[in-house]
Amino acid sequence: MKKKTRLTWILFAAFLLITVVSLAVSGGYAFWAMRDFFYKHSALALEARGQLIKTQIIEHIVPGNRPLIDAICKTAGTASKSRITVISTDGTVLGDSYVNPDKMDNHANRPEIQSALEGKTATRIRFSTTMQKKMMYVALPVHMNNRIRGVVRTSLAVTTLENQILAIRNRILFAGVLIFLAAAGISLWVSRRISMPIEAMKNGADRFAAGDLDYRLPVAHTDEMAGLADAMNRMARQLRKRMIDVTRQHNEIEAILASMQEGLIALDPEERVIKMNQPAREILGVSWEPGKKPSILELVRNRDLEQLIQQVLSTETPAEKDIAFHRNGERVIHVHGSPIYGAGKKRVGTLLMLNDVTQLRRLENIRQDFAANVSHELKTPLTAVKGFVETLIHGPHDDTEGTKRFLGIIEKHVNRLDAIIEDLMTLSRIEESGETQRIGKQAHRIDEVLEKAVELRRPEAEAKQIRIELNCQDAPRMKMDAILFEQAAANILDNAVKYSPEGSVIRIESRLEASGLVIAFKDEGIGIEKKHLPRLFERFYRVDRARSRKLGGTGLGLAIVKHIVQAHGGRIFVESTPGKGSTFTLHFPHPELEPAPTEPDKST
Amino acid sequence: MAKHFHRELGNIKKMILSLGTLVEDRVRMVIEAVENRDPDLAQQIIRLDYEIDEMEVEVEEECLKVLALHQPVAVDLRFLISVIKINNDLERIGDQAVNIAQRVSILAQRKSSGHFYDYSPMSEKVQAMLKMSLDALAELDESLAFKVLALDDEVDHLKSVAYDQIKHEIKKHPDAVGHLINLFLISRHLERLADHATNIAEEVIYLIEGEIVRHGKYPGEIQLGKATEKKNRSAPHPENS
Repeated sequence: MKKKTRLTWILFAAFLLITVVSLAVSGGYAFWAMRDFFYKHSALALEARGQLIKTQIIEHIVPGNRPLIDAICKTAGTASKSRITVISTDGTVLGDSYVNPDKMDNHANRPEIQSALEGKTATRIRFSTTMQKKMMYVALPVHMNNRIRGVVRTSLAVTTLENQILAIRNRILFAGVLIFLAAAGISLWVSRRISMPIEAMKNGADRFAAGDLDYRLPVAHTDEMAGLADAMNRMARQLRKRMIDVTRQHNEIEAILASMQEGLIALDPEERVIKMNQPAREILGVSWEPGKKPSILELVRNRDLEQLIQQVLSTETPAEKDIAFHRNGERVIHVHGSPIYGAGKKRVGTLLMLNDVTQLRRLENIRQDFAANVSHELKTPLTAVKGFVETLIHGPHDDTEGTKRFLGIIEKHVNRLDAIIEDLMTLSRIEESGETQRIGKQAHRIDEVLEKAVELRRPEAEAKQIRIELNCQDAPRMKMDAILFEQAAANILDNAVKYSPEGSVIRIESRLEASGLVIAFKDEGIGIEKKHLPRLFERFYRVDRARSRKLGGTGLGLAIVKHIVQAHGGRIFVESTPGKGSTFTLHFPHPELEPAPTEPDKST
Repeated sequence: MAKHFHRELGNIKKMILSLGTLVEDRVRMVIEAVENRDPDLAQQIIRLDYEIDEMEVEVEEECLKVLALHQPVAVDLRFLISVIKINNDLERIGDQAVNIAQRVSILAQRKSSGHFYDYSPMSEKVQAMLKMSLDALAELDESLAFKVLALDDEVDHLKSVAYDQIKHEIKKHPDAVGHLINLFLISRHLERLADHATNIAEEVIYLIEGEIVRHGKYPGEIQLGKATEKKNRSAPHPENS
């Protein structure tokens, strides 16, 4: 791009041009006028001298007294420092102030002499052979008695004239240069003064363009500049206000998006991420910087999600699905996808809303399973009872042995039903009172409560020669519902005994740690596989249904334990290695303990 | 013209990542099948393997088309070559998953066998390697790729651990040798799977650096500074095995 000339220089050049032209023209004209005047003035002066000489020689010219005329010429010439020549009518030089007239040639052919002899005063500038220089001649005719008797001619070297004119010219020139320089200085200053405000405008505009909208242009001196500056300042103010508004709106939207609980992802028509709010990033476990537009596939690799997006893209209708994401275990995310339309019904992208429903689905599953299980558990014994009752009603009435046996079986099943329903009621009672923290608590020694539970299970343990070891350090007193606590311990022990092989050991440890009270039940039983562990405490959940029923379980034991522990503000954990054994750990972070008294307190 | 070309490249990247997603999913399924000794899940994996094969063919055809039409050079050429090779490795991973599923089927036929080997440490590592190598491809992240290469040694080690333990079991229970051999073979397939994931990582490094790092020519021999500085990323520290 051609470099643009600065305004200053353009103005300055214009001023200079004007100055130079004006000075040149006026100087030149003045000089010419002066020169002209000078020449005319010199001619007049020469004529005047000629007239004076004329009066001096007029009486001598007729007799032709050459020596006298010559003497007069020479005297007058020397005195006046001019050249005087007197010539007769035939052209003979009668006298000359400079040269011997006898040596001079006939002057009749000289043009000014010829004019004078005709009676006219003549002025001529020509080259003189005598003097070998350019001369100015003024020739006067001498009249006597109305007859021309001769010519008086005065002359002056032109160089003299020229020298004087030159001197004047130099003085004019010198003055001109001075004026020119002064004018140049002033015009430079003026042009800068004109262009500086414009430059200031430009700088101000640059700053606005760079984003500094708080800058204000300084007040200018001229009306137009001031108007321009004012307009630009107003523009900057407007822009700044708009930018603040836009930023505020943007921040509002971002705040809304960030405080949503649902994840939100906006995709463009090429499945690239335009926007992703914080919850979405957390749910999917990805990071995303605004400004980048990665493809959704680059961030998250999930087939179902891919298919959902494809579906929304191709059918242009919303779609939703539960999608399993396998990241730190399995999480179920409900994804709702819908197309985004811009102005004019044009498709500008896809919107995905993410909701973490893992917990929800899990609870739904539990509930569904529970309902199914309860019906099954209650139905089975009931069917048996029904069957046997029908048999008794319709069968022979005199078979007392058979009848007794059948009634025994019926009793067993009814007891089972009773046990199940009893457990269910216990469970619901604990749940309810546990939630409202209403279980009655009194201080009891932990080791005593545990001992009672051990006693309860001693018969079964001894039948399998299983040893139960109780190890209570500290033996503090804890506020608890003793009966429930005992039942919980008994339930755990029940499982331990049932699933342990003969001759093994069950260890119960209770200790007070920094994190709270820890009670652990360790057995050497058949163990529980990893996949069952998360669901172990669900109601009616069985690892091995057949074996459990054979051993007489209701399926509710552990659920009851869990709720009792939770009602006491604790949590229960289980670890197990199939084939080696299991450990159930009860952890109470804030047990309501009382210090153990120095004497063991027998009251419970 | 160039815009069209770049869109096609973007499409290919999407396709290869989509295949990666599918394969990752299969690997996850088969590991679950191993853990739960679930024959139905195993059958599903075997049955659905055709999906992976079909997609592999699609990706390769797309790459060949772009190569023929546009004759790309430099990084674009490297990208297409890497995609073709990664495509291949992904399909092989799918095959290894099928192999594992077949083992699970056989093992499940012998019910309630007490012989159980916990493959979860090994399978978690393998899954992590696959995920990291695909992440490295998606984000063109060299440091992730190098991490994958380091994990491969750990998987090899776990395989020899499995070998020793199962060998011990066979000596203790020679009657269950068939079952235990099948159990061991799972570790071999897992190790091969890890190798393919390592290949993918190596190809990603090639794509980024333009240097072929196969056959153990890493770590110290690559000048990582020059290319990664250009991309304004912090220089990764390749882990020494």
